[in-house]
Amino acid sequence: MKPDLFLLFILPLLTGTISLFFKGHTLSKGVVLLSLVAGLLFSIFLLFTPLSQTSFYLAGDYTLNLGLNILSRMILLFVNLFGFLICLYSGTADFSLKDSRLYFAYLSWLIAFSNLICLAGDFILFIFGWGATLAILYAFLNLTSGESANKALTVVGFGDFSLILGICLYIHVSGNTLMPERAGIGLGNFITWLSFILMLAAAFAKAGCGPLHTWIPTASQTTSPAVMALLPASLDKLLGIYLLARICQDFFILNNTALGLLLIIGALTILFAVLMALIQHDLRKLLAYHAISQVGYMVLGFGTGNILGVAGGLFHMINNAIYKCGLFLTGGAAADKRRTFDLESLGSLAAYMPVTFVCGLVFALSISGIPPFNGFASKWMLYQGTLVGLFNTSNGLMRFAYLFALISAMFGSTLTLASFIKFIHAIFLGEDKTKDNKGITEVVWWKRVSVLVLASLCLLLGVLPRLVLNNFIQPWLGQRLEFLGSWDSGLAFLLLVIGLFIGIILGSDFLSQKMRRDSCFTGGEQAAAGLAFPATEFYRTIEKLSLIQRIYWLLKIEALDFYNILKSSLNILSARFFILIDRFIDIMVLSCGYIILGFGWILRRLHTGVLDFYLVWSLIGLLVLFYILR
Amino acid sequence: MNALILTILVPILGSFGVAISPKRLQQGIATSILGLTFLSAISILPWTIRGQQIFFSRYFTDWFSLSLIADGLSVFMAIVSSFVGLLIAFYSIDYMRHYEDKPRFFFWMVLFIGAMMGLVFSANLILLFCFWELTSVCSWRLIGFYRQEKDTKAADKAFLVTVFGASLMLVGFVLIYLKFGSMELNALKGISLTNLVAFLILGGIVSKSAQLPLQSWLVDAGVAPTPVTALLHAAVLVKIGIYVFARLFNLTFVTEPVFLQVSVVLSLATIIIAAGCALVENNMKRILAYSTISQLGYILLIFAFNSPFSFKIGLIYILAHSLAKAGLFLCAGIIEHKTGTKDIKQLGGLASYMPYTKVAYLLCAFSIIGIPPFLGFWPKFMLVLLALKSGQILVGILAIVGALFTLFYLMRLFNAVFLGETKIAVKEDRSSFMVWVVCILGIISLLLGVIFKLPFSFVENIVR
Repeated sequence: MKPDLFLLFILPLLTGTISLFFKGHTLSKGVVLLSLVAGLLFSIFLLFTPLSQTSFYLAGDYTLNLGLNILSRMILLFVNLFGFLICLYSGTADFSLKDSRLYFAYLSWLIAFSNLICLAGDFILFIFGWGATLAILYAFLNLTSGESANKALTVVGFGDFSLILGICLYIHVSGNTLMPERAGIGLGNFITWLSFILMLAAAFAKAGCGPLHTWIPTASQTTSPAVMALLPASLDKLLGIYLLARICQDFFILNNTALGLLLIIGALTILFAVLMALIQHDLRKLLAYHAISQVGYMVLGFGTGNILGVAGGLFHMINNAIYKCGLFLTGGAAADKRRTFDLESLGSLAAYMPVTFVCGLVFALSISGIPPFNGFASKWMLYQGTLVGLFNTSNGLMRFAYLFALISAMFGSTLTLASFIKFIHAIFLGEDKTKDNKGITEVVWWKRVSVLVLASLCLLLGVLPRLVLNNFIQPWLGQRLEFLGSWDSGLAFLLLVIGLFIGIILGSDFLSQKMRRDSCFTGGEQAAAGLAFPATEFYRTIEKLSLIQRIYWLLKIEALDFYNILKSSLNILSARFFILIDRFIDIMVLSCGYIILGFGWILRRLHTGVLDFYLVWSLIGLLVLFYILR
Repeated sequence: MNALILTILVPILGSFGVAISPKRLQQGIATSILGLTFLSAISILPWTIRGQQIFFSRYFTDWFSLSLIADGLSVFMAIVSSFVGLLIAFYSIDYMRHYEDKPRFFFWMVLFIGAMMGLVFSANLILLFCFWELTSVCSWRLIGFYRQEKDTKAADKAFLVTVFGASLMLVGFVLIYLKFGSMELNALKGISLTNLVAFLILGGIVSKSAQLPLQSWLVDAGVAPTPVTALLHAAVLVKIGIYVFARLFNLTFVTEPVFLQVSVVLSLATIIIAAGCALVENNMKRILAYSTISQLGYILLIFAFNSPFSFKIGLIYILAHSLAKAGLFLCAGIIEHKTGTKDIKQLGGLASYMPYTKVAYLLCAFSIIGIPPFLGFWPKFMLVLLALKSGQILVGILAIVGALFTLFYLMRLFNAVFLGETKIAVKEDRSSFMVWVVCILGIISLLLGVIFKLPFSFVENIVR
């Protein structure tokens, strides 16, 4: 076995364990950070080394395989990058001081097992690493709330058990524990379909796609933004969609039914999640629902079944992880300064936290799909992929699915933009709250570094998407990406910069001397004093529409919450088992005991203590013996 | 040879030594005896790793001889049982501190371990049966330790159900002797059993290991002191039936396919039904007892596959279950000891008061549920893989359903006891042996899962 790849697992595992023994959180953070830097550098180094696989014996007929492919190499890089940035960002607001050692240990272990997932070349190692990340997710959430940890454990745990079953079914059909590459099996019978659905469930639960998404909003309300940025926002997305990519491209050959299923699930996830996000007043829950909504785009991308859509889905996975992570960090920073996550209580922080504001704005524009940021680049590919699918299919149902997906995706983007206008306005702009914001300053330098790196990536990947597309996604897919239309992100960015530059020149002191300054024009009316329109009221009109109201009612009562459905079903089954089987058996056993006691009672009654009685019995016994022996 | 005989005689004779020794020394002597037993079992390991077996035989009659065998299976069981028994003895030091009748407790506990050692090394069916019944007597006395009416009733129920099963098993042994003229396992190797005989022996196994339909005694046995329930439910008693199944039906006799199929169905039914019942109960120990019944169903299911690989996986499952289930019961014991109640409805919010117990509980629970990277994940995953590879898809699905139930009831117990509003505020004594023992069990469950090559290699080496 090559020792170098295994270091990516061993080093953070050991570092995390060692950090448990340090007293101060600074030392724990320092040690873990160093290890994550080493991991990041090593994963960059691996980009330039040839791909290889090694195996080692487990037991029986089973061996474990360690190796990288082009896609997992990319995932590995981003896993380590996010781990490093969030570790750098994490401060005492993200954990209580007595939890600090646990926090950094968990972070380090999470990176270790996430690396193992990327390195796994066989299903056994894959499921081992996958399941371990569930235990760490639970541990992280349990630092702040046992209830949300329990819900996450149940929903994601259901996904993990589904994965075990799905994988074992796959191995039964394929006869091999190795994870295939481009050697998928067709969805020709019940077993393969069952395996496909079960593996999908695992990917959805991890990534947070409907209907296995409900743990994310619950977790967001009790967990620190840094943990949300680490887990549901970035790492879980990367790993969940990585599994989805392998399922759709490597393990199975998808037919129209499977593609249609992905399109519909993706579309519904986009719509329902973004509608829920629109009405949130808690910034964590708002971001959590958007995290769910964005997964819908990725699933939709794989549902298009063409290279453009699939590439768009993969690219969106990367982009979403970057800006979603950034949104949690910037939103969390602002909320931490004001000690509240309520959007109604925040406001006008832009002047006090300019770097956080600019980065937050970049992330908000990215997620909304505004050029020249990365969100636009991947969403543009997704729309194109959906259109290509729509034009190339003659199947009526598939045409409906593509159309529904396209409309949902675009409508979802619109609502996302609307939601983030509210987000930015509520936190950084809006009503002047100088009194409440007194003494607030920008975050410390290392937090600024984290979010600036992420914001830069949003811009870089928006202007130069080919960096990821040409080096990772296209080689993995094995086909050339042919885009529709003639959008050139580089040229668009250049024109944008020129336009901004011209605007700055026009607004500069040199020209402003020739301009007259005056107050804002309000049509001759005097603005009423104290007239304020809070950002949380922006979309009250939409909320009051009758169809939307019904949808909200359904979603708010959690009628479709998978966790509640699963819990109720198991409770009903359990009660039946307990009463109809276990207690029945117990009654039978007790009855047997009482019957035996009854015989004993009869025999006791026969022991009268009177000699004549015993003589009669002896005589009867003798007569019986004579009869038998005659 | 000496080590083999010592492993059996030390605890059996030592138990009498405990009974007659001064009161203040009895705990220390009992713990030392169990430590010696463990070391004796370990000392046999080098032979089994080299693939050798140790035999000892002293002839008495055609149907009875003092025959002992030390092979991979028996050494493995001896090491696991004595190790967990030793840890439970340490735990008992603090748990039983305030009880007057400690001599009686330690006597029966040490004798119990001795009987287990005798059973796992027996190579004669009648000798095996004698030790089997000795464990029944010991468990009867230990379950009814507190001598209250409900305790003696539970003890009597356990005794009668297991003796009923043992009687069926004895009939099976007699039928074997009548047909083949021997009770020696070596002489009986490879012979085919009829379904009647196999099912009679299975009756004994089902009663001892608390499988459907003879499972209810184990749940009621929760009235015993916690070290006793840990010993019964985790380390020793319930594993006896599984051991005998492996010894007789995997290594000795050949059975008809229908017998193994029935064993599979029985195990599956036990897994699901017991797991469901655990979700309904509100008594901590009863929940964990149902959990034991369910998990033993998994182990029996693995052995019922009757292949060399499934045999090894079964051993790993025994190891994983012994460690983690002992930990869970001992955690429940700490909670009961501090709060005075086993009813989860009267508990809550203990996470901040008992953080070490909480963590130990979670480590052990995750292993039982089968979440990586804990040790319990590996045999459970391998079981599903084995089932599906052999085309038994329903078996695989039901095994996963059982795992889901396991997740639910163990986390329900955790949530009720450690989360929510604090109803009884207590403080954990971190220097206590009890807390140390549960932490050790939890950490071992985690470590052996992460360094998974270790248990796999160990089993591969000792069982060829």
